Amino acid sequence: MGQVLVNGVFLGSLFAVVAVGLTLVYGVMEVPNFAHAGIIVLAAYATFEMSERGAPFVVAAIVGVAAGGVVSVATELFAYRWVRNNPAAAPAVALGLLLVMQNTALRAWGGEGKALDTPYQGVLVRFGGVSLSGVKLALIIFAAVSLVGLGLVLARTSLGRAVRAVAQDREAAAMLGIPIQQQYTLAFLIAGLLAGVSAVAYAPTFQITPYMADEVLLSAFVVVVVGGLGSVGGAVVGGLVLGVVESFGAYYISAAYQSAFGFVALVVILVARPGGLLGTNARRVA
Amino acid sequence: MPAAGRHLAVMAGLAVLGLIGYRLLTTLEGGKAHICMLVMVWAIAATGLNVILGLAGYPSLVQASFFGGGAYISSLLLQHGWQPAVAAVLGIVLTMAGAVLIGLVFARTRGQYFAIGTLFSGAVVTLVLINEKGVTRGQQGMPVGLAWSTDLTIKLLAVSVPASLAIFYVIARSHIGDRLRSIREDEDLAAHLGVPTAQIKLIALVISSAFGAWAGVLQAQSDGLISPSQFTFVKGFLLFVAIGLGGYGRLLTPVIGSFIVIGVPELLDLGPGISQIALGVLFLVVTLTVPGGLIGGAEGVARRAAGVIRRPTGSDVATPSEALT
Repeated sequence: MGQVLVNGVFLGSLFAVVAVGLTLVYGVMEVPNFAHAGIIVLAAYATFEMSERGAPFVVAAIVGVAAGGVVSVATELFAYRWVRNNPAAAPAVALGLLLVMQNTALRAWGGEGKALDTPYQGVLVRFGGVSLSGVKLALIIFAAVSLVGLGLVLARTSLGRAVRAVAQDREAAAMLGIPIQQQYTLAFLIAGLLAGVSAVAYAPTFQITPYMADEVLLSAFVVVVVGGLGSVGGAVVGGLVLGVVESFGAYYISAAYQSAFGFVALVVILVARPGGLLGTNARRVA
Repeated sequence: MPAAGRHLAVMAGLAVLGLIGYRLLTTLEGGKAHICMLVMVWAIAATGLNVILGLAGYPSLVQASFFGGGAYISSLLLQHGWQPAVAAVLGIVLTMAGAVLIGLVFARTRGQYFAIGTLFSGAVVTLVLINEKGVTRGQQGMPVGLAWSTDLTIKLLAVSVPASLAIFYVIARSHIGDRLRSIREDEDLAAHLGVPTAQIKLIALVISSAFGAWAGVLQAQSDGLISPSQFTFVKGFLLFVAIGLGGYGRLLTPVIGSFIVIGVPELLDLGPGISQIALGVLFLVVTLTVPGGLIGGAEGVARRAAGVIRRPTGSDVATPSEALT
């Protein structure tokens, strides 16, 4: 029971980091960023490549996170920026980007899984009959630190206030003199860095493949819907809830259908509330 | 051209297309015939997607699962000794029933929620196909009992492509077609004017599933082997790409799109990575620069060229009826 709950927190932390990146981009730009999975994959391979070349793990991890940020900003610069006034084209652009990124990874590193070594992978933490491997604990810590950091940036800095203002009302923010373009780029930068963090944290628990992030992305989208598209706080809470739901489902019913429990949650929520659970900022979803 | 003459011309053109398909299937050899068959099967599945994505502008990412539904259900029924025709019909009907279920949940949602919901529905179908090894044999796939002679399968394929396009042509001009386009233009306004948007989206999803399922039946019968990897959500993306490349809601989009998405990579044989990257880049470029897709872009160029000769001040904006062809 305790073990299942801890696993749920592990999964939930992962979902939360990915979902916050998705919801931030959605909040400012109304893009369902399917390409987020591709950014996670490329960041993971960047980390792998660096550690293969003998770089210490810390350096490799920093390069991986930075790579996530760079690739994400590039997708905004070269693709999303050009469909800003045509939200209907956004899913198509996202799918095109995903196709390009995953197949670039497939071409460069091949389809077979690569293992990412970390200095903390031999660690096993035990407390009160519950055990947690070093890589899973590290993921929870990475997630907590980056999300608290992001929370502080959004709440306390003028940069964060500007991002929130754009997410709440684009036109009003523009009228008040907030440089909108800069907020778009910033949102993609933050989302990319979070994708990098999730890649570095998640890759050691699993193998790196071009399709490693597909299922995580699906669950993260459920989180975003649960939390309300565009709501960062909702994404964190939703992430943890969904992680625990999937973990209990996997343990008590069937591990093979773990991500399907997320789907069940999505169906239940959308039947009850077609606009998501916490549509607090009343954003029209269209 | 008067409307009746125009319709007749379109139908005649589709009949010729079917004859060309039949000719290609019977004269091409080995690998090329197989590619031609794949393109035709995908064109049928894509025609379904062209109803909901093309006409209503709704990003359905579950089409590959309807495709798989038809293939798996008909093959399993055949395996249990059902008549081929009954197995095929039940394959379509049961897949449509599945589409009703998905539609009841997600048709009420808007835009991006719909994309996410259908994407996830497709992922769950793949998960079931992989995990229920007792029924589907899982990842390795299952052999299909061939119900029809090769000749009959080829004829069915050659008839199905133009027939599907003809049905699309009729739907696009029907009452439902108007309502679907009204949803694409402005869903709020459509709802205010009394269009039952959720119901229309549900109907469009079910129609699209029927095309997908029939394509699945034909795919299973022509290949003799089906596996979950043929119907994953990546294939759903590719169907989406096919529609976007050809041009949303245009009659010949499924044929052109399927040829580019399935035919060209197989013919060039550059290896999976390279061709998919090229496809992704092409799709991005078309999405960003030619909203009407390749067909729309070509039409625009042709109209401009004609306009230069006939009426220099002529507008090159398509009227709704032109935009459909």
